[in-house]
Amino acid sequence: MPVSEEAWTATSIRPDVAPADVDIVFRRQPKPVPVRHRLAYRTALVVLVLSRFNQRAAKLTNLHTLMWATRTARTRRMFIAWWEGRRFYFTSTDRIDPDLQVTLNLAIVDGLIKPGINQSRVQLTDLGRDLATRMDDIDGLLVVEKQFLGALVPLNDSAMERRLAGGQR
Amino acid sequence: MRLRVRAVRLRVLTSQGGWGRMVTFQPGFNVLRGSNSRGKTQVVQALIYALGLERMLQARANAPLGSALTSELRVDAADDSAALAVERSWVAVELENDAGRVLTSQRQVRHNRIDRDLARVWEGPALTDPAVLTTCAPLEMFLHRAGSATRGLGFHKLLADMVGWELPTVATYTGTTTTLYPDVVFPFLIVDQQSWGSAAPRKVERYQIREPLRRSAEFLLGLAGPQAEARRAELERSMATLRTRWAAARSSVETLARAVGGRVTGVPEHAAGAQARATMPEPSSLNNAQLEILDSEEWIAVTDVVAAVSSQLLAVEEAGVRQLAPGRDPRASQDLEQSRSGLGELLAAAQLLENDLSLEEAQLAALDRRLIMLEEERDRNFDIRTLVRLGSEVAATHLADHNCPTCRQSLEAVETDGLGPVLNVDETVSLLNAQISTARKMRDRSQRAVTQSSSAYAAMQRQADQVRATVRALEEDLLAPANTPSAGDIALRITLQLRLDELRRAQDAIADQLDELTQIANEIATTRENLSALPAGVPDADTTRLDELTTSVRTRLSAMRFGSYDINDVSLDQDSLRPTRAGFDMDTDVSASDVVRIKVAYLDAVRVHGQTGGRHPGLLVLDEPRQQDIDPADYGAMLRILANSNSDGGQVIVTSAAPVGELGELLSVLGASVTDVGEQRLLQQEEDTDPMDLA
Repeated sequence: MPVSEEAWTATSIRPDVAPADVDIVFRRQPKPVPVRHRLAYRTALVVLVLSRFNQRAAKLTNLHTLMWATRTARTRRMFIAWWEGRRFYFTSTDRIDPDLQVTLNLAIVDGLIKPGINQSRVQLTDLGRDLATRMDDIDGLLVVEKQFLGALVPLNDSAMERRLAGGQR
Repeated sequence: MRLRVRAVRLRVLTSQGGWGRMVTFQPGFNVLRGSNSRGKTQVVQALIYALGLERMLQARANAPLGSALTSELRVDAADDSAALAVERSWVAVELENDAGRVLTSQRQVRHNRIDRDLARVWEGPALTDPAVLTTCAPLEMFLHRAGSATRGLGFHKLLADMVGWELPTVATYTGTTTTLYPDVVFPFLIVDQQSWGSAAPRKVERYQIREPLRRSAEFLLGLAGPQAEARRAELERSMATLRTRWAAARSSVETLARAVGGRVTGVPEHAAGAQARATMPEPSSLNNAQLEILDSEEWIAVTDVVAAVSSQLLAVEEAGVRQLAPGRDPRASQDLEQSRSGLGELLAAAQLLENDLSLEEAQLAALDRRLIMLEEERDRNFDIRTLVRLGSEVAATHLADHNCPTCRQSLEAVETDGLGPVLNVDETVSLLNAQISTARKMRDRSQRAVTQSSSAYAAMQRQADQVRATVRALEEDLLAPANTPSAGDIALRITLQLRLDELRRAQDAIADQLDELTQIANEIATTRENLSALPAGVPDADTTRLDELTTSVRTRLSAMRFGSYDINDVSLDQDSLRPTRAGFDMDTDVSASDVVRIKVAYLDAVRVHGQTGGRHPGLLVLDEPRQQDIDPADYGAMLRILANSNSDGGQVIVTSAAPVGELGELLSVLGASVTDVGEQRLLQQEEDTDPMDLA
């Protein structure tokens, strides 16, 4: 309810005057959702990453790592340093982003990917390959992601483990 | 320019002599009839191979021809199993364009000495008029090597010239450009038997051309939009080069100025027109550009500084070099005191400036990082719109409708987990654009501050060096014996003379650079003017042409009794220019026979529209379109449509195994030129020698 000019003046300048009977509504400012939480983006990235793998299949941990690596310029630089053997890890933790699990479930139900024989892997279906091809056909779509992944191909699970462990190429 | 096939010749040499066949074709509608497994497909494959187009069938340039031409020939003798080993074999094609030029191309299929990537070419009808072989020497041309579509002896260059094609340059996946090669375009002209499984022409991906089918369709239909886009890309490349030249010349001016402790004002970071704007600007004027020198923490025009240094030098010269007084020279002591004090103040000011500069540079780097992050986030949000559309096209439902594919509930809660009220994608893009705009302004201000401080710091350091030299000279004066010339006076005179010289040299060099910048500014303005003159969006003429093409496809589908759904649901996909039904893959969404109907309707419509006002040569070769038990009545309708080539100036060649009784009367009515192989095998015994055989 809008506050009348008279009431506003009275309450702000004349504290002795009883305040007007007005409803004051507090609203939370809507926030932007970071794009990496958007399902369309996450699903597209899963499909794009898998399409760069040999046999279009990858371990979930490797998928998780590359999804993380594409996130910002800093994560991309860090990953490339690992990939090129300028960094290496001392311990390893197998971890899957819970958001990734949700994305994979939706993509499986939609028929874009399917679980591999080994449950720790996923593979693109023909539908997923079709989506990947269409994404590749469009200039200006996911440009940074395509460039980053393009610098890593050919990708496969064993190459990821070998390179990230000690930088052997 | 129109192109027609006059004849195709196949020739095999075995231990039992020569075998072969020549099939001739007429302008208009042609049917090559024969029972199954008689070799009709070999004629189409021979045509493809003789034209060096086999890479449109497979990535490797292997001969797509059957065993009769490559390994063993089965002959219709009493003993049906008798097979003759193929010793040598070749194929040839005779072509004619509507300017009356006739060419014959021959390629070896099996030969122990001749490279298969060589084509022998006669300027004349060497197949139908063997006299040409005696009057005209063949030219050897190369295939499948770099330059085969661009160099003088490249066969595909000759083929493109024959059709009157100027092959356009198109973008590749790797970010470079390449030629739209004939084997990318020819799947619109020749349909081999293995490609009937898809409604679209074969997609040739070996050259990594982006959207090869779209590029080929645009080329054949002669759409104006892509030409304007190509011109735009060319102008944008020129503009990028000019921007680089501007930045380099501007940087050179700054370096020259900095070397004499100065700065240049009046040279904008970007020339007018370097960025797209709603209004067309005048070329940047550099009339107000000038070199300024830092003097007592103030920027002074170089002309004033030159005048001041000149008059100071004159005064020093007139005063001459004085002799030092005995003992401690009082004037030298006084001058030294003043110089030391001035040096201290200068170094203190420089220290403060350096601190500010470090902070400003750190802020600039932080703003750069922030801008990159914001732009990436904005671009990714922008991509979501495209991804939603792609999701609908490949039937990935959760991308398209944002609902869970299992429970059909909205996925919004999954995305915004605990965030409270959120902005939608469009609102997010708007917010990010506003943030980017603010960050860019802050960055520009920060960049200006860094440039200013950096110039001032360099100028202060330079001044400090000069004062140090003066201090050293005055210190020498204090230690020197009486009546010797003052080193301080001499040093001052030399310093002033050097300063004057370097300022004048810098003025001249900067004037030259400003002339070059003015020239670049004019070129940038002209390029922007040319860019602005290009049509925006899809030209109306293209829209009309594509609408007409869609109507033609639908008319043909209606005549052939397309039955999978309403023909009005069939349209042209705006991205690929191939027939589509919104959101569905035509290859799997319609019956197998309708896939054939769509393919014939689309390719014939492209032929008809492309040969009038486009670049389609009017040729269409269909290897056995009677696929998937298509109804005879519908097949008849298909042939009736194709028979229009009798009157529209094109040439359509169809191979068919349909029974004579079924086809005979219809083909007669349609005025088709029929070559009937009948029950015979295609390759028949011939003379043992042929003038085109190679030893």
